[in-house]
Amino acid sequence: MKRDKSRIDLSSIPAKSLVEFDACTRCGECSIICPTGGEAEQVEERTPRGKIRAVRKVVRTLRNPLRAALTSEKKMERMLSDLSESVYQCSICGMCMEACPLSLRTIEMWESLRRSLVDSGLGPKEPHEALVKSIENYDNPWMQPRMQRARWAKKIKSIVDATKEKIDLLYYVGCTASYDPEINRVAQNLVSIAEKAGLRMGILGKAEKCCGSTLLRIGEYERARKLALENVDIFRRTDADRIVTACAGCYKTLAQDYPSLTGTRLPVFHTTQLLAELLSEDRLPLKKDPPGLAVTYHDPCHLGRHTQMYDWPREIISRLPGVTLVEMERNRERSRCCGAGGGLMTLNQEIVFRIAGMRIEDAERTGAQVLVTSCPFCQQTLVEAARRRDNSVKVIDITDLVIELLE
Amino acid sequence: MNAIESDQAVAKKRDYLFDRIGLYLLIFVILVIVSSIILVLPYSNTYIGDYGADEIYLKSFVYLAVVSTAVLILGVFYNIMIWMEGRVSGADQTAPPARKFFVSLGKLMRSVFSKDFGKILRSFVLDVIFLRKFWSISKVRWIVHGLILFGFIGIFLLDVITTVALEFFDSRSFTEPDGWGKLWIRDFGFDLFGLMIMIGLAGAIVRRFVMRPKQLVTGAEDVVSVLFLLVVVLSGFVLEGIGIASGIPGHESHEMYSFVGYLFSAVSPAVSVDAYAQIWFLHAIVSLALIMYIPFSKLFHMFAAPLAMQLNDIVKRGEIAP
Repeated sequence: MKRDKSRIDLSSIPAKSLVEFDACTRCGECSIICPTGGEAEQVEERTPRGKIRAVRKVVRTLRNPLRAALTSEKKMERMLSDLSESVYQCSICGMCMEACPLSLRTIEMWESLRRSLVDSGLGPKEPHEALVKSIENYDNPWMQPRMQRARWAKKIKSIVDATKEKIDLLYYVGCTASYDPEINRVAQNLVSIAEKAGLRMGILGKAEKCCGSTLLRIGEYERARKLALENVDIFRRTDADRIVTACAGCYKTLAQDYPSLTGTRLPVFHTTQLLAELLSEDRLPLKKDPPGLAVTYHDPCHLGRHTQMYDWPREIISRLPGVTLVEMERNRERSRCCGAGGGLMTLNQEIVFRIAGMRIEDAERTGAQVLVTSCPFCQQTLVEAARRRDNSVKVIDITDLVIELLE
Repeated sequence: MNAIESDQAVAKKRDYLFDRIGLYLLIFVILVIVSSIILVLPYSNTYIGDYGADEIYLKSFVYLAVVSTAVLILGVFYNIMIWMEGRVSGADQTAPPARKFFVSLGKLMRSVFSKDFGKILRSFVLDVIFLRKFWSISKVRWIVHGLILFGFIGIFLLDVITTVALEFFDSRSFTEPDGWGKLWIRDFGFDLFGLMIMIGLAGAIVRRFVMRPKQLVTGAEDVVSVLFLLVVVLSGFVLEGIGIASGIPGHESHEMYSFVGYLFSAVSPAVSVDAYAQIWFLHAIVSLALIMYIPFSKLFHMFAAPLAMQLNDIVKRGEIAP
């Protein structure tokens, strides 16, 4: 069906978010700290304030009969296309929400606005289409065959098929840890840790599908919903009473988005919660006197500002022998984004690595040798950003750190 | 099947009509009540009421006040109807905005007047009135904003008190030169809150136009909003100064009460009652224009921001809005 590109359908934006667009006072707190439009580019139209202003202008023009009559269809199309461009040049890190004196829930505003743009035929952007197709055809955004999904687990005997055997814990691996050979290690680490803790962990193997995070972030709500329903159906085929994931994006999606997408609240945990629990119960055998190590921790946006999980990773680090945490100046709620989220990696890699480079600089300033994170996508991006800066810091996942210190 | 579908279509049309009628009726009732209050008041004790000035100014003001409040109310509803194009939990998403409005109103009322009323009231005081997050970001900017916000709230409250005292109770305390209401509310109170606004606006102007911090972007809307507020308050003080300088009945007072008005009177010319009435009318026009401007400008945040903060307080962070 051909869409009218000079109109916008607001019905997928919560009324509360529409109130918030009007609540903005244009103070600019968000604009100076926004990683894309503010810090990296300094383009007002791409800052949260600029986008809010553009939304108000578009809506007020379309809904005011006089202004609508005085605005040509072509001009209207251009306004909407500019709006769409700005709205997608954002990693949806949620820094604007933290900075806003009114605490406007900007994450919800941007995500629902993208959904509205998709509903109106104005989104996602062209480069995202490959992602959408890949998820539809292969159940992952990396254009990798389904059969290869559990390849990383082939030689691991302790891992079982969760749909066939009795398990304590279902490990939802996620697409990045399943397919990226550099990140496979995270999955392998988790299996080893579970084994040492005496947990029987299972995976879904090639039956596992993408959680739909990428689709949701770019506004493809209906496609994500379909995928979510399929995943919930697969989860129900297991007898696991706990699902654990090592990916911050998957965690946010399963824990926060699935209840509204599917009507099902899943017993989902992030690895940081599991590891903190295992360490606090002394279920992991730690080395006695390892050499000292200074690390700094990067809060992934999906685990931090999106789901407020700041304490678990820090608790893990504090319980590891010989490890000292040196916080970056911007940490926890004010942690700088790595730049890769919200579909931005697909759309604008240049800006992503400029932002990720700033994060590596933040880490360098702490003097720590290692930058720890708990999101495979952040890890992937920060590793590349560090490589571009002569590997000034080593970027690892939190499971790497734990494995290193196990006996 | 077709018959069922057609019954549903008829029911939908009927609901649509009822919602529309309900909404229009609500707006109409609000307009009638507000207009009636404005039109029915005797205005026997306003500065230009019975003091010999041409009555045309007072009459014109009254009719223009009806128009401006009508524009304000319709403008607010215009914005609400845009909000109601969005998703409202518990409502059929294909329903017209009018239906969603009544569903939302019901939900909001149930949320506010619930067992959580105490919590909601607490967050209203701390987040909406006190703006505690803003306080933690910048105390200086909080003070500048607070001077304007609390100045206007103060003037609004004093206006209500004065109007009730004068027009409903014909209170002599508010009319006699040495009356308590006259000295402390009409003279001191208005001057104090007006001065607060002036200082706050001066701070905002210095920051926006002199200091020009990187985070501020100044567009036409920002300039117009600040200037509008400034002209309204400044014209109020100029009027008071001229009233005192000209010995206009009602302006006789002690300098310690009308402390800002007296400063302005020192540099104000003495004018006739009629000229005073013209200046009063200009001040009134600017004030009414400001009222009409609110729903179509960034100043609308005075309604939307408290509502957004309150709604966010009801929906916990990390939860997706219904």
